Amino acid sequence: MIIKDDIISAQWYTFVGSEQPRTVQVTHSGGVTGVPEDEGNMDYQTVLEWVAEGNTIADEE
Amino acid sequence: MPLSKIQTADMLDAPNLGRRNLIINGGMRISQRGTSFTGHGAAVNYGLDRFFDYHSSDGAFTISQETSIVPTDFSHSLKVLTTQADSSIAAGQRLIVGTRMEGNTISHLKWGTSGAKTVTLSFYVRSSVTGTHGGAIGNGADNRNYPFTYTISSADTWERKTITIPGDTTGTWATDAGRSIQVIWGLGVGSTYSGTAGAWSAGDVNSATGATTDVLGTLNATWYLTGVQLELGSIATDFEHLLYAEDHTLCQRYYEQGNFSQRQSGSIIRIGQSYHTRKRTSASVNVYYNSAKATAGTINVSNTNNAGWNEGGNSNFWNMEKNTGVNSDSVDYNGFWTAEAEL
Repeated sequence: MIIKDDIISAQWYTFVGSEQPRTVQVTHSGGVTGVPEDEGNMDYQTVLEWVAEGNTIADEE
Repeated sequence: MPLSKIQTADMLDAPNLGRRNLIINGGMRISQRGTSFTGHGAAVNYGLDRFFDYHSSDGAFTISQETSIVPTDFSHSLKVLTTQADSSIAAGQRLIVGTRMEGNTISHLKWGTSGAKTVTLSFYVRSSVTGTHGGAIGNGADNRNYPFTYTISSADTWERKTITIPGDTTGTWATDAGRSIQVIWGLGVGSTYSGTAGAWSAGDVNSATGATTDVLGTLNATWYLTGVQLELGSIATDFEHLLYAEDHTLCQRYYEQGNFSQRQSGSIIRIGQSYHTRKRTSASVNVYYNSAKATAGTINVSNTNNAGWNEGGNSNFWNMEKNTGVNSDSVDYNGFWTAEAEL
């Protein structure tokens, strides 16, 4: 599971045409993890806590 | 036909009926992430499947899956070894091991209602530290708790402990795919997270007031756990040994891993697979060069470490995608993936 203090940056990414949630590509000390925009996912809850501290999820390129 | 041909006295005396245990991997046989874990800090970290630790102290520890020190009739146990002692645990510090249960698993217990049902927790434990140890049952919101104590009578000896818990008639207990009952064992818990044993109360409590903190407080102290069972009723029946494949599949609802190997052409590459087991919720996905899992988001492309992959999926499948910028023909893509939908 992603640890909030290990998060370096985050960016939205959409798999076009696929029946899956939009994802947050989270860059952390262990690499990059794809986290679904799903409030039932504990890593997404961690990302929301990270955002609540004033951090921003970058827009898709 | 005589009644004895249909139902024997033995069946009545020992109704060892299946599917009693609400705990997954209570026998500690499944450990997909590895067999030894160090460096876990102040966050929920999973080692053996379905069992997490949380640590905030000046000490250090390892958690491992053991096969040599186990009770009779068991093949595996979870071991905690203190590698750096903290003999003066502050009020807000703690080392705990626990397991979290999904609301769907316990909805029939009717906790949070006037019809809340009694359950019984049983487990096998062994420690180098004798005396009164503590733990607690709690809810997913960390605002209801029932601390308990158990006694280690003899050092380095397996003992089975049984704790009967009246169902909580108040509080919020998830009955969906969210986090519901948590079972916690405290290995060194400060006063902030300790409460009175044997009664339900509000708050985030992980152990009982007065329980020893000497596992975390003693260098090279050990604490082993296996045979964890939580069942309906006030009687602890024998531990329910499932088939290995059943345990594994149950664990995969929360964590699964595997390999992929594909040959594709083009510039925008998308690769994915269905999960063996549907996940509790949309899973977090990591892809790796190989099973060593060195750097997430990096895979093996024609035997070269290749970064920049976007990872995603839902509860049924994972996938990854990258615009390579080069319209290549017949390129090999290999790697390892993990999907996590823990509580």
